[in-house]
Order: sequence, then C-alpha cells, then structure tokens
Amino acid sequence: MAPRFAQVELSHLVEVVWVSIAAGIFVTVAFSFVVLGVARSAEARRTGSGGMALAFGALAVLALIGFAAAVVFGVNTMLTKG
Amino acid sequence: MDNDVVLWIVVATALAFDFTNGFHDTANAVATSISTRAMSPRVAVGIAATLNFVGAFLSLEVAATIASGIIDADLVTPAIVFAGLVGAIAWNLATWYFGLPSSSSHALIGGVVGAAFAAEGAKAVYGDGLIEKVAIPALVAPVLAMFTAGLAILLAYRIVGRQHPGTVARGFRHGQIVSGSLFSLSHGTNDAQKTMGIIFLALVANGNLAAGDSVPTWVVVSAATAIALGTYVGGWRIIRTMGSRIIKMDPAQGFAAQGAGAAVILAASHAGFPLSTTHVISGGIMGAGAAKRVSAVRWGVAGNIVVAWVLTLPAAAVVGAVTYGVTRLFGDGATGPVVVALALVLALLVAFSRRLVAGRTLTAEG
Repeated sequence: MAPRFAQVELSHLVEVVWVSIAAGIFVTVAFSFVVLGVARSAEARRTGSGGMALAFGALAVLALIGFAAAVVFGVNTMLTKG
Repeated sequence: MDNDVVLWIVVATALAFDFTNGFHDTANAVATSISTRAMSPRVAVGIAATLNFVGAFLSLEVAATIASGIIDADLVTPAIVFAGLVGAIAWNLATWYFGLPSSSSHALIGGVVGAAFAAEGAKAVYGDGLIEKVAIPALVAPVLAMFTAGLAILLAYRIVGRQHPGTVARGFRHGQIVSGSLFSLSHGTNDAQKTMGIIFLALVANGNLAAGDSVPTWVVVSAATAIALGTYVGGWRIIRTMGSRIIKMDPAQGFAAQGAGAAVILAASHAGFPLSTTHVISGGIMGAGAAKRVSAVRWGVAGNIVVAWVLTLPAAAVVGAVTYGVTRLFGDGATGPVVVALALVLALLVAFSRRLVAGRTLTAEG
C-alpha cells in the first residue's frame, strides 16, 4: 500500500516541477517582450519610423495577451480542481 | 462541556495562528514590490491582504492534506491540536522577533506532529505522509523557485538588455503589480487552507464532523478573514530581510522572483502540497540575485534563513510536545488549554505592541 501511495505523490511532484518551470519562465519571458516592445516602439516613434513603431507595438500587445492568458489559465486550472 | 470549551479555544487559537501567519508571511508577498519601489508599503500590503482573502476561497486540496495526510485523525484530540498550534505560534513569534523568514507552514505541521507524538506515540504520525507531502516538497520547492527565477531573469536580461535601464525598470515595476498580486493570491490559496485543515481536524476530533465531510463555510470565511487581517497589519521586520537584506533587487529581478514563486505555489496547491511560501520566495529571490551576480546574494543572511528552515519542524515539534505535556499537568479538562491560551494571548499582546513601533519606523523610511 505504501509504495503505491509513494508513486502517486511522486508523479504529482514531477508535475509540479515541470509546470512551475514552464509557467515561471513563460510569464517572465512574455512580460520581457512587453517591455521590449513598448521601449522599442516608443524609440521608433521618436525617430519617425512609423512601421517599426507599429511592429514593436504589435509585439508588445501580443506578448501582453500571452502574459495575461498565462495568469488566467494558472488561476483557472487551480479553480477547476479545487 | 469541557470538550466544547477546548474546541472553541482550539478554533480561536487556530485563527490567531492564521493571523500571525498573515503578518509573518506578508513579507513573502510584498517585500520585493516594496524594495523595488513598484508599490508603496501601504498599497502593497492592502493588495496583499485583499488577495490573500480571495485566495483562501479558491482551493481546498491543501486543507485535505493537513487534515488527513500527516497524522491519524482518529487518534487526534482537540488538546493535541491546541498544543500543536501553540508550538507553531511560539516558533512564528520567535522567528518574527529575530526577523527570520522561517516557514509558518512547517511550524504548524511540526507543532501538530510533535503534540500527536507526545500524546499517542509514533503510531499517530504518518511517516510516509510527512516525508512525501512535507519533507520532499520542502526540499524541492526552494530549489525549484531558485532555478526557475534564475533562468527566467537570464532570459529577461537577454531580451531587454540593450534597452534604456530606466524604461526597463519602469516596465517591470508595472509588471510587479501583477506578479505581486499573483503571489499574494497563491499565498492565500496555500496558507489559509492550513488553518482550515487544522480547524477541520479539531471538529472531527471533537465529534462535530465526520472525516469524510466537507470543510464548513464558516471555517473557510473565518480563516480567510484572519489571514487577510494579519496580512494587512503586516510584518515589517521580515519585509526588511526579504526585501533588501538578501540582495538589492532591480524590478526585473523582483518580477522574476515573484513570477517563479507564484508558479511554484499555484502548481503545488493544485497537487495538494502544503508548501512554505517563505521558502519558495526566498529561493526565488536568491535565484534572481545569483543569476545576475553570485556575489550579489548576501549568503550570510541566506545561511541564517536556511538554519531557521532546518530548525522549524523540530523546534515547533518540541514546543508542541512540551505544550501538550503542560496542558496535561492540569488534567483532562479545559483548565490546561485555558491557562496556556491566556499565557499565549499575553505573549501576543507584548509582541504586537513592539511590532507596531517597528512598523511605524519602516513606513516612515519609505
């Protein structure tokens, strides 16, 4: 009985490890792209490069959507189990 | 009648523990946001308190682990739960006094295990549950947060490294409002549930509930309220240690530490592991600091924190066991818990009068 219990817990632990690494890194990387997009977009606007400003603005928006989706997905996943 | 008196003392003590957990662990949620000036102390603590309250309603997996996975609920009495809680509160107050961010969760588990061991011997403690649900996650979680935060901040620096530092700092300060909020929410989901689990255990031990019943709503609401109030009152001493004494952080590092910490705690809450939020965020902070420059981490302070981590379970267990012995000196009735509870209230009053002075000092400094 005890070994089966141990196996179940170990699989949960492995799941926690990979989900944490994936989510933790994704959230920071996504937000870094938001910061990059906003900074480069502002810089491009100052130098009069409208196309670049638009492209980096779009990058910022997409990254922000990804970041927000990750946060909502994380909380929602926990809600569905709890 | 005596049993009901002991039960209500246990419930009040559990809520007092939840309150101390809130003020002890506020630092986990908000210290990095305050130290990087992403939020003012009052705003950060207010957001943390609100989200700790909300988070307490989100999941009951950890409460189930505390109530049934670590000690034998059939052998537990309200007096055992009470002694365990006193052990946890005593350890929390001691580490708070010295400004050490130790684990409230492990203090609680250690206290209850120690009291159960003193009362019923080894048969009352699920050794495998203690190792698999507490000890192994306790070892894995800080390392996991450290690794995740370290890798995340390296990638973040690679992405934004050529941008103007002021723009990057401003961006991540805004991001820290979200990451700090997420961490507070995760803290509420994991930590408030521990108190719910303990109250549930006491209600089962007293015969008010069966082990298979669900956690009553009043237990959820009262635990959520206690941790939120404790969070709002705040633990300024530990905020200092967490926010600036381990490393001086920039906003990107604070964001990475909080993001990694929240990811670890939410994933663990989903699996029902009663993690220490303190261990997790400390690991995240160290990882974010060491990834930039190993010498940036004040390893002496980090070493003190690790010592407090190692001591928490056994120290709280010893206090829990001794408290159980003291309550038994007064017999089986309610006298022992009443005497110990009064002594505890006195200690809390002394501690809080000093804490308020410390809080004013830090707030004034900004």
